[in-house]
Amino acid sequence: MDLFTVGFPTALTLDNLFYCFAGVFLGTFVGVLPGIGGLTAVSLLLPLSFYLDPITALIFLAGIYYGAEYGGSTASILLNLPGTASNAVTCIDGYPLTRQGRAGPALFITAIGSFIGGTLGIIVLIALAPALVSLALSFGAAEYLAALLLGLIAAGTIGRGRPIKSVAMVLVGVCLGLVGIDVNSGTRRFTFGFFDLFDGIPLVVIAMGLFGMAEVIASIGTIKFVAEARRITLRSMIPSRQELKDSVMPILRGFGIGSFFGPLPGTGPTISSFMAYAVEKRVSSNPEKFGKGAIEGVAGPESANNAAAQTSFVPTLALGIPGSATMAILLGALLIHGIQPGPRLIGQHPELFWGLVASFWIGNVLLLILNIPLIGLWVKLLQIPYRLLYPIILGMICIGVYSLSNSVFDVWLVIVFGLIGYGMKLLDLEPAPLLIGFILGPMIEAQFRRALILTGGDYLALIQRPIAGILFACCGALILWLVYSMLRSRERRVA
Amino acid sequence: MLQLNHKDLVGGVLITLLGGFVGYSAVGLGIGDASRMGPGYMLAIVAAGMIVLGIAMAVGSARYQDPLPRIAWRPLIAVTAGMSAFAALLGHLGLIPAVLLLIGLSALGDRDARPVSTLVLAVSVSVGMWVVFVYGLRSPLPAFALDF
Repeated sequence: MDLFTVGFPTALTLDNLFYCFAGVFLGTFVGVLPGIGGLTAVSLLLPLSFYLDPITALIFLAGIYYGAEYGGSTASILLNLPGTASNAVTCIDGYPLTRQGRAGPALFITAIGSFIGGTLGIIVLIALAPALVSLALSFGAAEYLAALLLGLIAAGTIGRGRPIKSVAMVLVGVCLGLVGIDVNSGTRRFTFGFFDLFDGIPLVVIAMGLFGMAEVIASIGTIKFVAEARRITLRSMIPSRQELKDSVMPILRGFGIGSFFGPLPGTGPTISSFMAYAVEKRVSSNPEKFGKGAIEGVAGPESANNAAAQTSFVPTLALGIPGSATMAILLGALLIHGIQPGPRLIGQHPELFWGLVASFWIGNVLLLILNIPLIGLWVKLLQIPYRLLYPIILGMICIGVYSLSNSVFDVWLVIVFGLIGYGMKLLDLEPAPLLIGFILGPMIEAQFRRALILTGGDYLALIQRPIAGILFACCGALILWLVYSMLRSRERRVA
Repeated sequence: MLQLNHKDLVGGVLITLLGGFVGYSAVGLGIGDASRMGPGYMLAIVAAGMIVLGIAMAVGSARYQDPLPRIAWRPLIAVTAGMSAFAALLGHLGLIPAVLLLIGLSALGDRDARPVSTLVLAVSVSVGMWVVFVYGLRSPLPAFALDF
């Protein structure tokens, strides 16, 4: 078992243990605060990881990512404000529970559900990633193209908004991703004479603009922290026997849903939590309870988003295909340290993969401690008024982006994308699909070009390879589903 | 019926225009053919998709109402001004004045901002940033400068 011979010894060194704790602590911190999520925090702290060992850097950044999934539920339950997007659905039943004075048990079940979903998700990761690697070693350009395309279409289809808008945003993202010098021909694309754009737009810049600055503008004045110092004591957190019994199956179902959607590129924790809520509502014997404080509506989604947070490392580590913006930043951190992501990563750097996996277990245990005995700390944090918080967030965005490459140009770009992001908010255009398009777009172009050079421009030859054919068939099925749901939503709107 | 005040009409038109611009540029960059793709090949496909979806959004918007929300001018202007001041002055005045201006200006975005608490916040954040980035991470940034 590489996990025990390589993984834990790596994760349990003092440095790695410290950065694992720092990661999950900071992750919970930003997760609790509304308007700043895991993506923003990982982007901000990326420069810090340049100074660390690659494995330590990865443990740290990953800890922030899954820590934010834990912390995000606290604000959802106590204030009806989602700390991160994937906890939005927790508000629906979490806040009514708070109003009934059951905030303690809700937070407890959330932490337990998150822990179970997360730790079982790690097992799926351990089982799935090496299996996928042996498959991926036989992948050619056609298979990569098909897998990437599947992620791209999934990002548009399984979004929260209207699919037509998500797909359009994916395409806008692809265009943004192709800015810069075309590696094949040396042609400059959309650089508008700016030397700084020759290498393309940095992912962190787009993320900070669309998710950081735009989010702050939209939140000012609308977030009022009315947390009347709710006292959450350890004793008040103990759930009743009935609540525990009602939560077991939702947590397990949430884990199943999260492990299914987590590894798919383009979906991830947010989609998983919404799916889990929908499923709980459907299988419940009294669905009218939902929305009025059903513990199942908290347990299922929270288990799902943590399972998805862990399993989303599968394509990232096994194929080098990032399923989300946060994963792309993690891969970027590896590249900075000269480690090439891809199917050979686990074989060439076993200590990296197994050490990271071992740190997930440790991190999840730490998070359980942070979120049950120390919950009072986070509740206090929610009493800081937003008008004092957002200038600090902006300051961190500016300095963080500047220190990526010591360039003021990047800060100007963040301002541009912040304004675009605010405009998108006004128009109800989601930034998440755009980001997926931005990340996968350049990869798709490279594989697309390579695949068609190999076949001499013959599109049909692409689908004649068995694995690629299956993946392309999945793409086709998703597109059909997309068209069907577009037509159905139109009928509903007309009716 | 055409409703000008509609999210999807505005969004659809903007996406169509962007698609048109990308498509036009793609032709200029050189499309090539499937076995030897030019720099514009992929862009042309994406642009076609954007134009189709943009038009579909705009046309579809006639069937339902979804008016534009109000723009939060005060936060929008304050945050943009603060960040622009930071970007414009960081190289000329140094880290601390740039962060002071960033915090001071952007804090005005909230109606409830008070002068004293804003000042305290600005001073403590700028000093904190200096400690973390210049002292801690040795970022090559002067605390103060006068360089135009």
